[in-house]
Amino acid sequence: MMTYLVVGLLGMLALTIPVGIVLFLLGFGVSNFFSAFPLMKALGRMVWSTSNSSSLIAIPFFILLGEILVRSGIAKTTYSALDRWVSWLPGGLVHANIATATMFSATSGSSVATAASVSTVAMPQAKALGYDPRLFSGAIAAGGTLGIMIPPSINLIVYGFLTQSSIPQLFLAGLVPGILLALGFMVVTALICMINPSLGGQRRHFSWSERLASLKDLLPILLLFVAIVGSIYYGIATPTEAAAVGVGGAVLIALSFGKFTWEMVTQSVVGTVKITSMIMLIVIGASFLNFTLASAGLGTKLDDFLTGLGLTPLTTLLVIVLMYVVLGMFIETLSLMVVTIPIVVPLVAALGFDVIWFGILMIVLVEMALITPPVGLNLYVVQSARGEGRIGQVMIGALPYVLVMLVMVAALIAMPEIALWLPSSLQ
Amino acid sequence: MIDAVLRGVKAVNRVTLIGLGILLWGGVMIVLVDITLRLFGTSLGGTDEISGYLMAIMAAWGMGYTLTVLGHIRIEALRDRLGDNLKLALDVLAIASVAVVVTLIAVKGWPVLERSWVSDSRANTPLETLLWTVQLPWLLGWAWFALVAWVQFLAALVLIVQGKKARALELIGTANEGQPQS
Repeated sequence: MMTYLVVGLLGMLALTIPVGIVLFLLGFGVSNFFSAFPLMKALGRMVWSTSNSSSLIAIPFFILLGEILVRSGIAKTTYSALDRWVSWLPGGLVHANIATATMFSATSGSSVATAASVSTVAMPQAKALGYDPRLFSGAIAAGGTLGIMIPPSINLIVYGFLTQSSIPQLFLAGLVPGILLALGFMVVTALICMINPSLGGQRRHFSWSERLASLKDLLPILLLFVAIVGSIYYGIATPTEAAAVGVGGAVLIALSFGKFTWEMVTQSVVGTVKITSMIMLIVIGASFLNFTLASAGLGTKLDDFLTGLGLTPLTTLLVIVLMYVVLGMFIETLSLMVVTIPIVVPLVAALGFDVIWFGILMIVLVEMALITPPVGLNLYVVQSARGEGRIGQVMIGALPYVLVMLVMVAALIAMPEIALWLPSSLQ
Repeated sequence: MIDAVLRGVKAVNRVTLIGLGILLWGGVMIVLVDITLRLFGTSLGGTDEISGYLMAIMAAWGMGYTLTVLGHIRIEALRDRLGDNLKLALDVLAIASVAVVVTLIAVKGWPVLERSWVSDSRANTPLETLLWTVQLPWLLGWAWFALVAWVQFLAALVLIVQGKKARALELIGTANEGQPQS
């Protein structure tokens, strides 16, 4: 069955059959060839019960929030405020790129939305101030990936839903690794620019009064973060409710910038419907595949498979990590997560690893997928905002940050507490 | 003929989007009102249940629209390296697979609705929602998705037979060589 799954999955994906449909087709195959029960009879009920979900509605709400924020004009003021705080470091504005992406990640659940918001405001500066386009754009692409790590995160909601693990716990677990990654990105930037100052621009110096005055511009986004994440952490609201509060907050921000227009509302709805349906087709497909695999006894087959391999749990984990790095070069983020969850997570759990911890490890790996060529969504998002030069420059610029992510992967494996400390200490 | 049919699909999707927009913002409002009421020690009750139904209906109806704007993710790493004819062959295979699978889902969804309708089933919740009232729009959404897929499949075939490959690629190819979201 494992061979069928792997060959079928990769073969159908290569034929460019839509990812969600591939998952259904695999499920049909499992039902026909590997199960003693007529699982197809349950198809309609499975599709209904998966999509009729009050926890999944957090997804369109968070997408709507992002769609409004992107159009609200807040990225500009946030960027210029953070410029005052971090651009004195070697590398100058490149740090503002990373810091703005980190702030946006704390209110947005999507990496692409984060990279898009930051690149629109940052890219014009690169040219005006004479930055090396490679490092400058690579930093935006990499910083944007934090959108799915720092809570809220649409990918973590999907992971929690498919593995039936706690979404608030996952959100908590993502916070420390997300912040560490952001710091790691900044350290690497500073190091590179100390070695070769021509890669960064002028270091920028501001007075403390200028910095303090800029704090008011950071306030709206900080408040939004506290409202969303704080309410989940303190158990006042479910992720869905927090997402609705976030939408309310984003509307207030857009209103205060005078950008809340009818046109914005309609564009946000169209964007939200499109992304939500795209995600839901994949999630429902994965859910059905999950169900058929469980009914066909994947658990015992995995045990046999693992015994047959004769590898230690750590070696198996490293093989899995390697698989994500390679697949991540070709398969888009959410698809990569969802198509592998039904097979990999039971395997990892059977090896004795923590499912919450593995969720965070998987997020770092799919973040890497966002900026590794040839298929790295954030690379394309930043390139399209640049509108000049070659995408190869963004790819090269993102490479140092891929190394930081690899270090984070190693750190998470060596010290799972990086992810698990916060959720366990607040329990 | 093809153009008229495709225009019809577009028109229905436009109306659908308006409806989905109302559902989406309505969903946000209901949850916000409920949270506010909770601060005052009361509650609307059943918000969770309503959100679930909204999600099911929104996702089902949105999928047909998303298909027309080429929004469903396909892995294009291999396709990008092919010539137009082979690309088109893959696109036809992809849209055909969507049409067949989604039709199957819609057909298998029918017994779910039928059972609720025949036995007047109600949700096992405080709202005691009559299930067919929410399952009907849900299933119609999937049926619409299937119909859109078949229309696109057949329209693409006709365009290919007429030698209008560029238009067929536009109809069932990939959006801007793919800029999906995650």
